[in-house]
Amino acid sequence: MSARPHQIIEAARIQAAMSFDELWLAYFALGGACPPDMVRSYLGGTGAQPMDYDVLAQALNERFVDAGGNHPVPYSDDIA
Amino acid sequence: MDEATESDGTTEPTAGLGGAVLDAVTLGELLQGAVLLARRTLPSAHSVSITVAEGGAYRTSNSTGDEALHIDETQYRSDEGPCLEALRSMKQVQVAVEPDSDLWPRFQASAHEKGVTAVLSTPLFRAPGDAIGALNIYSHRPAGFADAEVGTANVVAEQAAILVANASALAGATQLNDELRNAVASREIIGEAKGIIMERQSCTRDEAFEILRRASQRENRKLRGLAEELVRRVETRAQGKRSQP
Repeated sequence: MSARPHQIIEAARIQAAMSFDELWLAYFALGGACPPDMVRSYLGGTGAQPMDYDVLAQALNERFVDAGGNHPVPYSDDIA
Repeated sequence: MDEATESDGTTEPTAGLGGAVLDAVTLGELLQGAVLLARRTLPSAHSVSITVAEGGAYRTSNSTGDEALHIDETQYRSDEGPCLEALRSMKQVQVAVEPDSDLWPRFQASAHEKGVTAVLSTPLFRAPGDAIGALNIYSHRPAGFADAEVGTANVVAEQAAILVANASALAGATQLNDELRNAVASREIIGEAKGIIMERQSCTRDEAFEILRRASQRENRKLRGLAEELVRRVETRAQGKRSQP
């Protein structure tokens, strides 16, 4: 449990073979509020965690649901 | 075609959001507008283009025609010239074309061949210190660019930068249309579902999302599907009530 939340998200994004743009659009579609640049810098480890971190996690989890998984990306209350 | 009639008018409060985002779909046209505006407003401008930097490569996203495109592409191929210099130094670059010059000889030859006498390249910034492209203006006049023209180029570049920053964030202009429409529709239905939950549970927006995403996890279903069901149930009930005497 040493990976930090942004590393978990970035690793999941790569595992899900989602481009950054795809992830941001999926996040936006779920009601995500942060502009692409903020999300990008968060994933790169240089930006603050978005208020709606769980929306980002949900966007990835839905991709995994498509691939037959069940919500493998932890939400904020799983991490805390 | 007409989204408002499709959903019987119940989405009125959120329809504005969709409109705002969908307007951005015409980014390509807006960028072309910026290029044409620069040519129209700068007396010295003979041709104009916009260079976009993506993943270490360069391409011309918009131009007024072959002249600018040709000189741009010579610069990308030879990896030299005012456009690339503006991008890399993040400063506006103005240069007189002198075919015998040692500075960027391949660019000079290509520009001279087209009758270009001076070039003004202005970086496009996404944020301070983050150049994502350049506005290139090619002149056929011997005197180069007047100060006022340099100022105008800055204004056009600022506008173009906002457009390019959005275009590269959302990439693929033609595909974008459908994907973005779909994303906006999803966002709206989830927003409506959150509104219903907020009202019922007297909770915040974030708590409403939490309820939806827990249900999504529990049932291993997508949030949008759950949201659609919830909204449909409420609508059906409302219609039932209305049809009762």
